Amino acid sequence: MAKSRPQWKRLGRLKFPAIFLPISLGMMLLHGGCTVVRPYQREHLAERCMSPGFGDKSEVKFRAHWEYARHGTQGGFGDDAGGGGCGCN
Amino acid sequence: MWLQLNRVSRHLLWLVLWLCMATTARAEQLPQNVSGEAVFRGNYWRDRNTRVLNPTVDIRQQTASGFGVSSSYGLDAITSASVAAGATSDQPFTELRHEVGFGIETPLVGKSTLSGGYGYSTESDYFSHTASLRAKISLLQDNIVLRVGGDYTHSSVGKRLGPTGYLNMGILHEAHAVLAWSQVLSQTMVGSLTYELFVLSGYQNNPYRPVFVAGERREFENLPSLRVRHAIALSGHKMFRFNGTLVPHLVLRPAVRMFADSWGVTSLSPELALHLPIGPVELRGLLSVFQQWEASFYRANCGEQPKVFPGAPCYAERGVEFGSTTDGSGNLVPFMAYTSDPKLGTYSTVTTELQIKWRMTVLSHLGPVGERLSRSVVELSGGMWFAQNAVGNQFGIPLVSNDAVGVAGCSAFCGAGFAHLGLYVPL
Repeated sequence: MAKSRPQWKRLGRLKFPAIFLPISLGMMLLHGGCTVVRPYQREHLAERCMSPGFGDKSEVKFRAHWEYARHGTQGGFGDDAGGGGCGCN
Repeated sequence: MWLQLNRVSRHLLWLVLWLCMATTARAEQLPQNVSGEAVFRGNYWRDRNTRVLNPTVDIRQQTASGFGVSSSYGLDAITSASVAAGATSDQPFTELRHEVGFGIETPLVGKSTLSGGYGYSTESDYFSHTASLRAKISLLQDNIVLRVGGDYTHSSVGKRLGPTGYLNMGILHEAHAVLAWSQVLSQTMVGSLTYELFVLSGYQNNPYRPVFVAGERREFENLPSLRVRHAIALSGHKMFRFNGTLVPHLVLRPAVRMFADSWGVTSLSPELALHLPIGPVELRGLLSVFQQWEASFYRANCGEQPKVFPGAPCYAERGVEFGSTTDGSGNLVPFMAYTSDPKLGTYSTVTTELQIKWRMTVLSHLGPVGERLSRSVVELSGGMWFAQNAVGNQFGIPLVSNDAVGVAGCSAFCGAGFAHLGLYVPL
């Protein structure tokens, strides 16, 4: 019988988030660092539709809920969709 | 079917045109920067085994000093759920889940805020408490907004034994950490990057879902007690301005979400959403694709079985060795994992949604009450979720009546539908 690896060592296989995250952060820093939008220039950015989920938190929450129940993944809908507790696995 | 769709499309088009003509030719968008809002939504989900009615209410109010409170209530009324998922012999039952929550937000230095919340969810066999803490930090004249925070959820998992009996199966601890970076990229573009970490420890089996292992029917799956999940989301909002008052702009929101976990499940989900205001109406559309690759201990190698959907988990010989555990004598022995959950397999889905929001400006002539209600918004939306492989077989409804596989699944993509009716009332 082949010897199995402990669970914590399997975390080492998760390479793509470890690579993708710093690259994305670096790209946003480089791009954003060249642009400073003043408060009086934010007419369009202040529109509700420019917020996550076009500004509707309850809609994002419902989508996170049903995707969690029908997909094998969790998260990815922003910081407001965490937690909740649901025995729908 | 095609004729029906055409008729529905025609009616929708006429409805949109009438709404545009009946009120005003100027775009009236959703109220923004309101100090408070009550959102009432009725959500409906329908797939092969399950119908869910999910009414929710979310209320938030903010004072001039920046202090905010929020509360929410949601009900999941689940009917015709399948307790024998994975097999064709479903046993319908009805279940209710209640979820309540409240939160507070207090301003810190500048526009930075600190918020906390508590949520409680209860159903007949699952009870959970969630505590949340978030900090929002504004930097560089709000060009960068960071959100950091975490949640802890304590869940008690049980198994119903008839109408009154109940067996406690175990406890699940879940820690969730989030780091979100929002960056203004231009006067009409903003990008955001979110990383989330979930650490789940404890009982994670579904106690109702049987699985065949080496020809024997096991009452439920045997999953590892530790699961570490990573989720990364990268999204952008880009506004295209037009020289008109009827259609002032179009907003596109491309996004990609990526997942990986310690069980070997990985997935990728690109999507594109659009937002188009036309007069007092807002049109929104969504197209999302989801591709997942299976857990390292997922197997569907029994061949054709009479009570198992094609592609559903089934182990010809035994479970799959995954890490180690201790036996009764304290010796280290291999942990044999097997799952009954098709959602841990390889499959893809496509989600489409169309949404109409209508600002009730027609009520503005009806006195003070009408004036207040004229700022409210009515929402109507509907969508389809298409899936294939075992997940499509289990949850999806065959899209053609003469599907070759029939009651045991679909030969191609299967579908599920969802719809929402909402009312947004500024406070």
